[in-house]
Amino acid sequence: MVRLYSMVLTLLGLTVLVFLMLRLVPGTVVEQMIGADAVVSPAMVAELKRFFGLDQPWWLQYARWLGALAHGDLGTSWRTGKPVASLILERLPVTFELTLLSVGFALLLGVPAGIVSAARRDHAVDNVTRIGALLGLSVPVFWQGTMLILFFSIYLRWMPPVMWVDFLTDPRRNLTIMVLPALCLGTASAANIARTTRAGMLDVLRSEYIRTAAAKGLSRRLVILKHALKNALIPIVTVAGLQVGILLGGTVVVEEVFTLPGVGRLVLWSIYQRDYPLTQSTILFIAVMFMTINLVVDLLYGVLDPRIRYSA
Amino acid sequence: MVVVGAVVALAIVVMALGADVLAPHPPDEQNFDLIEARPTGAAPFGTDRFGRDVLSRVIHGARVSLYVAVTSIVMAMAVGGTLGMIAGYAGGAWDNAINRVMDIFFSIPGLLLAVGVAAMRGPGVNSAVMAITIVYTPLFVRVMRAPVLAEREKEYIEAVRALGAGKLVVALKHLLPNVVSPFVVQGTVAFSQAILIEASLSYLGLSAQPPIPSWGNMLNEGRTYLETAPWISVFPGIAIMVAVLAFNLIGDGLRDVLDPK
Repeated sequence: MVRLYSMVLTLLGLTVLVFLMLRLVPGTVVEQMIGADAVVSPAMVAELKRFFGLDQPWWLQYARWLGALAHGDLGTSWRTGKPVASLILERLPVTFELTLLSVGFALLLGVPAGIVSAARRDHAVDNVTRIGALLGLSVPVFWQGTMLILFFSIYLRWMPPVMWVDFLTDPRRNLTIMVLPALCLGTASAANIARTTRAGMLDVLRSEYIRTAAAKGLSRRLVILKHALKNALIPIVTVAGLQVGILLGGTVVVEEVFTLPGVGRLVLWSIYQRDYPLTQSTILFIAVMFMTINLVVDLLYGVLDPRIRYSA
Repeated sequence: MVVVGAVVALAIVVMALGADVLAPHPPDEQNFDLIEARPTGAAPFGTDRFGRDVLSRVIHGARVSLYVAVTSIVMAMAVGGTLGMIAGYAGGAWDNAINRVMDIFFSIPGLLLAVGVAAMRGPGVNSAVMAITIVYTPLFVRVMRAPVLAEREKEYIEAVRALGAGKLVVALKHLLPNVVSPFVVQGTVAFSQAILIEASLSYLGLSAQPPIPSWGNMLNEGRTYLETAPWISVFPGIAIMVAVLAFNLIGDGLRDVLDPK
């Protein structure tokens, strides 16, 4: 309950921040629509400002936006004339799928790599994993994307061109389109998860109960996978949860590189177009998703470790 | 590994500072006899669509990356460190207010926040500096606040206070030296990430504007010529990766030494 109350307060603060940030920017949608060289009468400019409600004091504009939000209305895009909610919902499956596939890839690669690295500490496989993780953290996602496009699409002619097809229409083609973006977006997360898993496992493997389990005659595989991994899960879940949020932000760049019609590109487009209602509500929407993910991760701690409980 | 990182990082710093001397050509010098030329002895990294030497542009590009990363992280450490110290040491309403405001910034994914701030201020190097400063300030607030909270309860602080030391003296002379290690480690890690964010902003056209070369905007320009002149995109990307890797290695090494926990 305390967390929810704090979330609402933060969201309220965020609405003020996003709203004011947009209004502090020089130039409005009106100037952008008219263009620098166009000859337009001041009366026309005033009319356009009145149409968009920009002639009102900022606090009144804010109050109206907040009032509409309270009724579940995210507003209407100034550029497209469509409701913001429908624009977000149209693109949400793309971003959602991309994030999900990236997290899946990061977990599938990161957790086993971290476990093997810890179990074979200071062996060749450990060194390779550690260097690989460092490289994974250092590679710029847009460069990796560009290089993958170069390699697969241009040299190998293996990937289809990026003409978006949703999963339900053609799952096979959709996954072929999504595999490279997910790989790019998930690489740094896989590296982070591998490092956290390795550190967590090394901590746990030093514990006395692990020595006891080994002394009882349990196989090393069982000790690592059943006894050690379970207790190393909390930091892994924390990092994986944080990664989901970070990946949501990363979609802005990856969707741009691979021209995927997701929420990330929508935000970018709306900012360039000075489409205030669309920018405000989309950022708010992403923030709500981000905070919800963090909340779920916190609640998961209690499931993974019953000693952790949150007060009502 | 930390030594390797330090040597490479030093080389990049020297490259940025001495770009005018080290680069074989001025970054914007056009050679129309060498348009999109493959890497050869005359142009080891090839040339771009205007016949500009990619190696020279990569060397000059280090300036923008390092300038933005250093300025933004120093500013974020200064602002975040001060706010974190106030929140942790003063506590009460100050702590509450600072934390609530920082929570707002934490509620947006970092890269999205950076893109938003930079786009709203208009493209440019200073916009990138401000964007990265805003992204990292809340992190430094937390990294400073947590150890200050623990440290201020210790007996030596109580003793110093009992001897009549003022709040500022206690904070700067006694608390700060005991909490600075994780802060510095975080600074190094954030520095490498700042290089990555700057490159992302440049790539999206929100940081340094052409013809000023930056690794990110070179990559963006090279995208169109991927099929005919891939070297325009390959080398700036390698430069970013090497720089980030070098500072990550330093960060890892510093963490092992300064913050072994």
